[in-house]
Formats: sequence, C-alpha cells, structure tokens
Amino acid sequence: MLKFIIRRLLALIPMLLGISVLVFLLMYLSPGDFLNEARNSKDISPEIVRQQEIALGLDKPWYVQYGMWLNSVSPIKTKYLLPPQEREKHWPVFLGAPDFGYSWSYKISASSLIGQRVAATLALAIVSLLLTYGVAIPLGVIAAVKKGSWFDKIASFLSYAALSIPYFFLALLAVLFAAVTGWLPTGGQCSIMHDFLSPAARAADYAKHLILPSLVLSLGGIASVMRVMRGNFLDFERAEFATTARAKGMSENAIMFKAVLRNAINPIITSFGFAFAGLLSGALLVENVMNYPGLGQLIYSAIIKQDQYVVMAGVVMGCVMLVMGQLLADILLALADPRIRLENSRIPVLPVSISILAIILAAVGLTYVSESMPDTFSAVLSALLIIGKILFGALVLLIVLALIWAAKFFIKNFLPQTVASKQGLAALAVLGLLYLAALFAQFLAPYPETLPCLNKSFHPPTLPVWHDGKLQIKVYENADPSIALYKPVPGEYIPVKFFVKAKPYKLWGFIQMQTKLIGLDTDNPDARIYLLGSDSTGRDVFSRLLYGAQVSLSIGFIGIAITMVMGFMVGGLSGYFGGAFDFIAMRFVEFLMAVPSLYLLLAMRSALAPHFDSSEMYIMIVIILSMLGWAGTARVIRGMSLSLAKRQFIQAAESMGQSPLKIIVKHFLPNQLSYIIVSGTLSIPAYILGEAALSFLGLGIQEPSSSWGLMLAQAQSDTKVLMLGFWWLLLPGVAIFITVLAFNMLGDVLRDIADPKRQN
Amino acid sequence: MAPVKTRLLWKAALGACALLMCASCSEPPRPERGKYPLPEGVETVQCEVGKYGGVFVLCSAQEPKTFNPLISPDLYSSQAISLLLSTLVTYDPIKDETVPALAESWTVSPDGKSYTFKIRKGIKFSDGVEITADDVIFTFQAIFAQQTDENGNPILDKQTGKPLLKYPSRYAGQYTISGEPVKFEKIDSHTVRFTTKTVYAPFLIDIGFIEIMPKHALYKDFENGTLNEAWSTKTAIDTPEKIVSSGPYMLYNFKPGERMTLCPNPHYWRADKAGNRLPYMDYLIYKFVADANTGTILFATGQCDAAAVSANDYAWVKNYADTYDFKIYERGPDTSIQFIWFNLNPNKDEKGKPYVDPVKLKWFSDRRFRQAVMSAIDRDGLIRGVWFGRAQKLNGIISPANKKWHNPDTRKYAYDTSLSMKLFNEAGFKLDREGHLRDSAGNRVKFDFLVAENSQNSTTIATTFVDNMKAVGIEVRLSFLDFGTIVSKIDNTFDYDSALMGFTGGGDPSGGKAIYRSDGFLHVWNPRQKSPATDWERRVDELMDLQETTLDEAERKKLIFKMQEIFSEELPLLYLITPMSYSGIQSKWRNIKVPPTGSIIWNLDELYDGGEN
Repeated sequence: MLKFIIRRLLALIPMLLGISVLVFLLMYLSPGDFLNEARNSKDISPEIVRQQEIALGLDKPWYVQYGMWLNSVSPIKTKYLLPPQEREKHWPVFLGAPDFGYSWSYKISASSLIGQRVAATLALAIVSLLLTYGVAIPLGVIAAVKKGSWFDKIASFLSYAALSIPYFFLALLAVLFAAVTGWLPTGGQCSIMHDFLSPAARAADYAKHLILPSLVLSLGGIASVMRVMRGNFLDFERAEFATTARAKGMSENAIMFKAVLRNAINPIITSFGFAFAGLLSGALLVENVMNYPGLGQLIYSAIIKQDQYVVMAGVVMGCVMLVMGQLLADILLALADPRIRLENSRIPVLPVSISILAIILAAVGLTYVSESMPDTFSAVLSALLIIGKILFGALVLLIVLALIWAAKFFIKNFLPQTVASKQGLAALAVLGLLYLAALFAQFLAPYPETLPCLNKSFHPPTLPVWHDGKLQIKVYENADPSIALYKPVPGEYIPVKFFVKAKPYKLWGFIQMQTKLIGLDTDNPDARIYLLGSDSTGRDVFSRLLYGAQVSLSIGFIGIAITMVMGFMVGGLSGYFGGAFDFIAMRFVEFLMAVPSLYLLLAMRSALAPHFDSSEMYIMIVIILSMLGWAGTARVIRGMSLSLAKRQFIQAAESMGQSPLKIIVKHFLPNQLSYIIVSGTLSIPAYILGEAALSFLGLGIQEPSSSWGLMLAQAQSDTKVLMLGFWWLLLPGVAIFITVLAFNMLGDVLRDIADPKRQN
Repeated sequence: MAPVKTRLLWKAALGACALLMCASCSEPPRPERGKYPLPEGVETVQCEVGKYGGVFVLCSAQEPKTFNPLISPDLYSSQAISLLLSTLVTYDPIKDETVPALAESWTVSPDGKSYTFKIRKGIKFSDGVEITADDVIFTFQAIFAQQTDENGNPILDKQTGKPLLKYPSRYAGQYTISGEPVKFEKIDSHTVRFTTKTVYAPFLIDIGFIEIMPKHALYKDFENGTLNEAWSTKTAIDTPEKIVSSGPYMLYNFKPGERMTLCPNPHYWRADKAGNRLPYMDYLIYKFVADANTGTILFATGQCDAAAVSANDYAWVKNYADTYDFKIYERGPDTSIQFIWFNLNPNKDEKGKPYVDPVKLKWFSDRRFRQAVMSAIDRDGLIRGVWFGRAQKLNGIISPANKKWHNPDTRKYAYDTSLSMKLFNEAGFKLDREGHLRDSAGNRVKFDFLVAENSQNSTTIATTFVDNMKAVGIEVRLSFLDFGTIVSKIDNTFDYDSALMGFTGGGDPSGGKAIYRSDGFLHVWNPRQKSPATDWERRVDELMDLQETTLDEAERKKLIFKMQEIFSEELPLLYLITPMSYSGIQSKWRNIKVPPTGSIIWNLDELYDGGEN
C-alpha cells in the first residue's frame, strides 16, 4: 500500500510538468497579456507599459518564461535561469524553497493569495460532498430496495427534476429566494457585521452562509449519485452471489447491506475522488453567482486578466487536489472490494518523462519556427485548419453512420418495449416532437432568428383567439414605454394565416421555399405574431427557440457519440489489460481531467476565434466538450472492467483463446451496457447544460446565432427581465428542463429494457 | 435510549437555530471620538451639523488591488486610496472648481508657470505624525526616481533612449509637461512650489490626482527599492494599521473577496461648525460582490446604503423605493462615450501587405460613406426599445454630461435611410437589383465588425447595427472577441475593418489627448501617426496644443468647441447613445448634495444618519 502511494506521488511529477507546459503554452497562444488594460487606458503612457513589460518578463519568449517559472517552483534550482543580478550569489545548481511567483494584479505572492481562498473553497467542497453522498447513497438504496413504490417514484421524479435545472439558473433562483424572503444571506462567506461578532456567532455566521451554496452545488450531485446508486444496487441484487447467499439462507437484510451494498458502491467510490477535485472548478459558476469568495472565482478572474502566475499556482493546486482525490478513491476502492489489487502496475518513469520532454521540445521548436518563419507557419497552420475541418466532416459522417446503426439497433431491440411503457412513450413523443421542430425550424418559425422590431421590445406572448369566425390575434400597444407595459387595443385584431407566403429561403440550405407555416394576413410590415413574446430588440422568442433548438439539441448527440465510443474503448482496454497500458491511459485521462477545462476553452477560443466563424464556434465547443468529457466515462468503465476481468466467465473466454477485442465487445459491452446507457442518457443533458453554462460565461454560441443557453444567459444578465416579470424570456430554461427531463426518463426506461438479467 | 437521543438532537438543533438567529444581531463597538484636539489649520465645513453613529454599506463589483497610490491603480483601487489619503487640492463637484485639501491655499506666479502651495498647519497622519512639505517632496521624488547602475548613472531604455524609472507609474507621464518633468521644491516646512516648463492650463486639476504619501512610513521602502511592493493587499490583510492615512478614514480590516471595513481617522483635518471632527459615520463598509447586478439587487432590497442605478435597472428598482425607504436621483446622461469606427490605417505591415483592404479603405476614408452609415443607424429605436427611453443620442466626442466642455451645437445625424442613400449615391455607391450596395467599381459593400463579448448592451447595439446595415444593402459580419484580442487588433496588428467600443469620460478635455491627437495611442481609427494624415486631424492637433497653453477658460472652451465640431463633421467615430444615470441612497442619510455629475456620495465624511423622519 505504501509503495503504491509513493509511486502515485512520483507519477504526479511528470503530470504536473505536462500540465504546466500546456497551460503556459496556451497562455502564450491567447492574444494579449496582463497589460491589455493598461495599454488601453488613456492616462497610462506607452513608455510605462513598455517598462512594465520588461519588469514582468513579458518581453521574453514563452519557453524562457516557463523555464524561469519552473526554476523558481522547483526545490532544485540552477542559477542560469535566475535574473542576471542574482546569478552571482549562487552555485550553478543549488537548493531553494519553491516560489510560485507573485500576482501581478494584487502584487502579493501567488501562494498566499491562493492560501487566502483555499479555506473557503475547501469548506464549501467538503460540506457539499458530505451532503451529496450522505443524502444520495441512502436515498438510492431505499429507492432500489423499494423499487416501484411511491417513494421510488417520487425520488426518481425529483432527481430528474434536479438534474434538469441548469446550475447557474438554480444559483440565481437561490439568490432571488434569499433576497425576497430574507431568511438566508444572498451571498458572501460571512455577514457584513462579521468582524463585530463573538467567536461562536462567527462560526454560526459561516455556517449560515454555507447553506445555500452547498445546497445548490450538491443538488445535481445528489440526483446523479442517487440514480447511479439505485442502478447499481438493482444490478447486484440479482447477481449470482446474492442468489447464492439467499439459497444459503442468509437474511435479506444481511444480503442487502453486506454483499450487495459493498459491490454497488464501487463506481460511486471511484467517482468520489473526481467529485472532490471537480468541485474546485465546478464551484466556479456557483461561486460567481452567489458571490462566494473561493478559489474558483479567483482563478477565473486571473485567467480573464491573464495574471499568469496565479493561474499557474491555481492549476498546480488543482492537479494536486485531483491526484489526492484519486489516490483516496483507489485506496477506498481497495478497502471496499478485496478482489481489487493495487500493486499490479509498474511505473514506466523513463518513457513518461521522455514523452513529456519531447512535448516540451516540440512546443519550443514550433514556437521558434513560427517566429522565425511566420509566413510558412501561418500557411501551414491554415492548411492544418482546413485538414482539421475536413477531418471533422469525416468524423461527423462517421458519427451519423454510428447513430443510424444505433437507431436501427434501437428500433429493433428497444422500440417495442419502450413504446409499451407509458413513461417511455411520453419521453419518446416529447423528444421526437422537439427534434422535428428543430429540423423544420425554418418552415415553422414565422420570422428569421435575427429580425428585430425596436418598437415592440419585450412584447408579451399573443396566442391566436377565435374572433369573427376566424383565428386572429389581438393587437397590443405599448401603454407605458418606460416599463414596456403592453395593453391590448380593444376591438383590433389581425387575422392569422397558415401556409403564408414569406421571403424566399432555403430549407436545409438547398430546398428553395417561400411558404411558412404561420403568419399574419396583413400588409403592415411592423405587425408581428409573437406566439411566445419578444426579446429586448423585439425579436420573436418562438422563432429563436426553434432556431436555438438546432444548436442545443444536436450538441448533446454529437458530443455523446464521441464521448461514449472513446470512453468505452479506453476504459475497457485499460481495465482489461492493466499494466503499462492502463497506467499510461489513466495518466492521460487524469491529465485531461486535470487541465482546467474552462481555461482550455477560453484560451483555445481566443487563439482560434479569428479563424472560425461565429457559426463554426459550435464545432469547436462540441469537440472541446467531448474531448474533455470522455475521460470521466473511461475512468468509471475501467473501474468496472477491473472487477469484471476477475470474473469467471471472462477467464473462461480467455482460456478459450478469444481475442481481447472480441472479449471486450462480446462480454464487457453487454455487462457494461446498463452503465453506458444510464450514463449516456445522463450525459446528453450534461452537454445541453454544458452549452448553457458556457454561454452563461460568454464562451458559448454567439450572436447572431441563437441557442437556448445563449437566450437564457441574455435573459439572466438583464436583471429587469426577472424584476419586471418578462417571464417568457425564461422559456429557454423550460425548454432545457423538458428536454433533459425527457432524456432522463427515456434513459431509465431503456436501462430497464437493456438489463439482460431483468428478463428472468 | 431512543427518546433521550431524540431529545438531545432536538436540543442541538434548537441551539444551532438560536446561534444562527443571533449571528446577525450584535452591535459594532463605537469608535472613540474627540481624543485629539483639532489642528490649527483645520478646515471648518459649512454643512449642517450632524450626529455621530451609523454604518454605511456600499457594494463594489471590484476590489482594490493595492493601497499604494504610486502603482498605476485601477478605478477601484484609486477609489479606496482616495478615502485613506488626501491630495494637496481636490475637486468640488458642486462648486465645479478646485478647492483646498491638504494645501490650505495656493498662489500662481504671474507667468502662469509656477504654483506655490501652503500646507495646513498642525495636521497629522492617522499615526500622529505631522504632515509637512517633506511628504509632498517625497511623493514627487518617488514618482521621478530613476533606475541607476552601480556607478549611479541612469539606465536608459534601449528602445526609446529615455531613462528608466525606478517606480514606473502613470503619474510620471502626467506630470511631464512639454517633455520635461515638473520641478518641485520645498520652500519651508509647510510650503512647496511646482514649476512647469511651459504654461499648462490643467495643472491645478492634475496636481489633485496624486495622494500625498507619508514619508515616515514609506521612506525605508523607497531606499530599498521595494516601494512598489509596499502597502499591498497583503499589508492590508495582515497589518491594516500600517497603512497610515490622512483622509477621512483608516483601514479597519480587509478581507479579499468579502469586504473592506473603514473607520474614522482620529486625526482627520476637517470638522463641522460645532467643532465635531468628521466623518460622522462609525464605519464605512465596502461589500465586494460578483457583479453589478448583485449590487443593484442588494441596494433595491435595502441591504446596502447607496448605489449607482443603471438606466436599464431604474425601471424596476424604483418600485422598491417605498418598501426599503430609499430615494433615487435622476442624474442626466452618462459621461462615457460609445462609438463605432472604421479602420482608417493607411499603412502596410512588414511584409508590405496593407492593414486594410485598399478597396475597403477607399470606402472608409470617404467622409460621405461614414456619414451615410451614421444616418442609417436607428439610435432612436435603440433608445425607445432597449433603454425604454432612458438614454440620449450622442452627437459628439464629449458627452453632454460634461456640461462645462460639451458643445451642444455640433452637426447632428438623425435616423434617415433616404438621406443615407443620398449620401451613398453622392459617394458613388449604388444599390443593385438584389438590393445590395455596390461601389463605383461594382464591389459589394461588406465588412467585419468587432464586438467585445460578455456585454449585453454591446450585443444589442451590434445586432441592431447589423440589421440597420442590411436595410441599406450592406452586409456586416459580426465577430465577438474577448477584450484582449480586440485591444491587440486595434493597437498592434491593425487587421480589422470596424469595431464597437467605449471610453470613460468626464473631467478636463486634456485628459482625452490620447484620443483626439493624431499621435495619440487611443486615436483608434489610425493611432500614433508620425504626422497628421488628414487636414482636419492636423487642425485638431493645433487646437489641442493651443488650448493647453491658454489660461483663459472662455478661450479654451472656444477651442474645445471647435474641436468637437470637427469631430462631428468628419465622423472618425460614429457616436451611439449615452444612457441616463441614476443614483440611489437610503433616505436616512442627511447632508446629501447631489452634484451635476459624478458620484452622489462624494462627501461621505459629511453624511450622517438622521434616522427615520
């Protein structure tokens, strides 16, 4: 055990090296630097900016800056990477205390800055984690034991609901709740008068401020852990060993809580480590909305300001927390499942170090080439971009094929049973309707998504009514423009017409059409039919919702296809083979998971944005989201494969000489299908919510395109929408909620069908 | 067993509840008053005599990054520093003139180049050390201190050949007039004199920018070369008492991400008519919030005492005024300006490729093209629909909020697509059969448009602009980028067609030199010109030079008015709108004097808690 821990800690070193290089490189690639603000303020002269550039070392190439950073962080230093005036004092190689540099914007050391915030974030993370697992595991077990009871039904409905609400939206609602009721603080870590309180009251004050953020932060976690727990428990309840135990006359309680629970809890324990590390970055949105002074908020603003050394210190901190979390997960896993051995991997320190070194050298070489031959380099870069786009096209084709195959499989094996269950039918119908609407958005939407009408901003929804023997809409006038109060004009109506003639457009880019489903029978160019109201520039929310659906609904499908395929292959193989493959694959997985995805997104976006159109941004987001998403799946699949590999039927197949690929596809896949389906249906919503969250931070889809997330972000950034009650602008949130709910319900039905053990 | 356990649990739960309830119910300790006698040079304030007490809470979306006045501070740091350290003179927004602060009085020499300041007698820093001419001299020594090598010779910047400053700050540039640092000398223990190379009209305003630093507290750091690191947020967190103050407040504590608490400076140099030393309030607390929206919600629900309310939020915040007992003052238009501009840079990059496509540059450089685009922007619609009527059209480069310098009679552009078409036609542009605008050579008019992401207002303006342009046959491609990328494009690589941006405004027009002058680095459409590219830019440069050396304010005003006329006629910037601004404050605070522009709580030290009516 001790050896295992030491090995793991040693493996941390190359990982940290790799991540720090990557982050440093990305920081270099994103245009501009810390002095942006100074450069653009009218009372700071360019000479001062230039002097500061020199003082901060920003005039040096990135690898020199990185080398100097590494030198100051490492306990073993060399004098050649010190500033010239300090070289004299030291030996060529000497020992020194690690120094993480200082924050340019706060002018204090990065480590003390991070130290200030770490306690707050740790408190939040630990409370939320305890809340999540403390509530979710018992609930999941009870739901499984009392499967089909009212408790199970209510719990599963509530967990659907909890999973379907966007995170930041929930945080915002929590802030509003606190503001309106006054029962709990609206934000912050402690109250304004905190300094004047007694120690006991101070502790209570902290506790009181933790309630809302930790609830918001853990709600989604509770729901998902509970669902996985319930699924696993049901799996193992019918496992052979449970049957054997029953046959032996063991009491049902003992079977449930000794045998089944211990097995069912495995994947949950594996996720524990990640949950811990994930909270560090996951808390960012909540910290931002709820104004909680944690690490996430600090690092995010450092990224935005390009306060380099704070970002680096934060990244290192995050990686260490992640590795610690995983170590904890592995140890817990070993304690919970005696069949899993820890010692079966050896560390190929040399190969790993060499590959890291190669990456660094390649990056340096690339920088050098790009700077010495900028023309050739940019030509190569744009060629690569074109190749990338072509490759992406090929990938899309492949995914479409895979989806067609999956659909065929689905229709043959799942559809009859799904349709037979009420829940399944409802979910399928809702999703079918949504996807059809997205597909025919151009025909269904009365107006183009970008058409404004400035004298009709925040127009309320107008549903057609039956008047004078035909379908008509009421005409509204803006009674008080200072608060956008619309009142119907008595007696004025405009008839609604179906299959109305409109400006010519091309359906799906190639079918020439001139007809729209619905419109108004009038010559007035300013008359509008707002089925679901209008937004701040008078654009039709209904039309925007339909166009936005194209983005929001497809992002989940494409993302999940990439994620699941990659996650299953890597996780299955590494669980099956173990050893060096497992080690390298898992370190890679950890590497991916440890890279602050948000920063990766931000940096890649600003580095690539000039090469991409606003509409192509979508492609980039899908790729980055799924590239970061597959790692989690792989990790869990590996955990399951690890214990599957020890099972008799696998060993039997091996001794019969079946190839690994065949074993994985024939034996691992069916056994892991229940997990893949449950987590797949859980992941599609995660992509939809992910897109919404990205748009919330301004990193997602951009105008003039629309997506549900973007629409919601626009509504949420405008406080008057909530305060003056323009409720229809929150409809994208409802759309997200319904879609996600339908996916979750469908997933559960599918899970019940897919489980082969359920058949007997 | 079970009942006992349950009872225990109940007790614990009750106890926890009680603790939570009382977490917000204790009174802060009252600061000690009247410990030190008033100094000889005390300023007696002519405000209504108030009473001591009360806590004033403000929300701020940003935190101070440093408490060191020398480090180029951002707005939020300077705001905090200005509460702690006083300047020689200060600006009174009600009188709209420079008034005494640490300096009791001043005289200007007949040639207008030298200014002598008399410092108040007997006034002290918060730690009881007297404020003298030495502190002023020390402050300016620190600003202009140069880096030296081992022989004591100044180190020169390799690029510019100018000596490198030991503590680079914005002030060095500010107090360098006509290429030469202002001369400063101590006449006696309470008198200092500044001399400029040439007459510089805004000198008295500018001298009020730098807070006087306590020599006794910072001299050691100055000697050691660590002055830039002194008085950082770390000092504020660990040892707030080390940040010596001369302003109305002292730092009580600083909790990054949470709040900053200030308490009265017992040695402050202002007192009321009854001889009570200001400030009246017991504590001033800045609560740091994530964004402006949170701050507005907190104000509207009575949890903080004052806030600037945006035109966007005014519509709903006013509904809460009676419930939470606050008043909102309408403050007229904002001082900032917002605009769209075209890249007019005629130069080529190192490879000889022009920054702007010559075809486009030809369009953009034509004044009629810019005027035509301007006439096609539906600003009235934006004001009506998006701002609910709470905004004004901007007609020139200085906002109407800057009442002293704004020229109301510049050329105005109404929303008029037919006029726009007429201008386009005059400049040789024509609509083709499909309704696309083409230039005389038949090129279709289309351009890229940069907008900073993450701003709801910019997004609304940008999407409306795109639609407005479509109506006159122009295709605009929106490109949302982060602020850093945009800055590097407009300042460095110059590879863009057009962009949307804004500048903060207000104050003396000399502060906008970098924008107006052709060699300015914020002359965004074509920055840092070696010699003016156009006649009208040359004319603006001349006007700017002239107004700086003119002491007669009426004359200066004429020059600045002329400059604005040129900017509105030539339209290098297409001005958009300026929203109305509003200030809200809890009704219990008295002595509120609302100035025509700027913060409503500029006289925090005079405010007192008058309780319920």
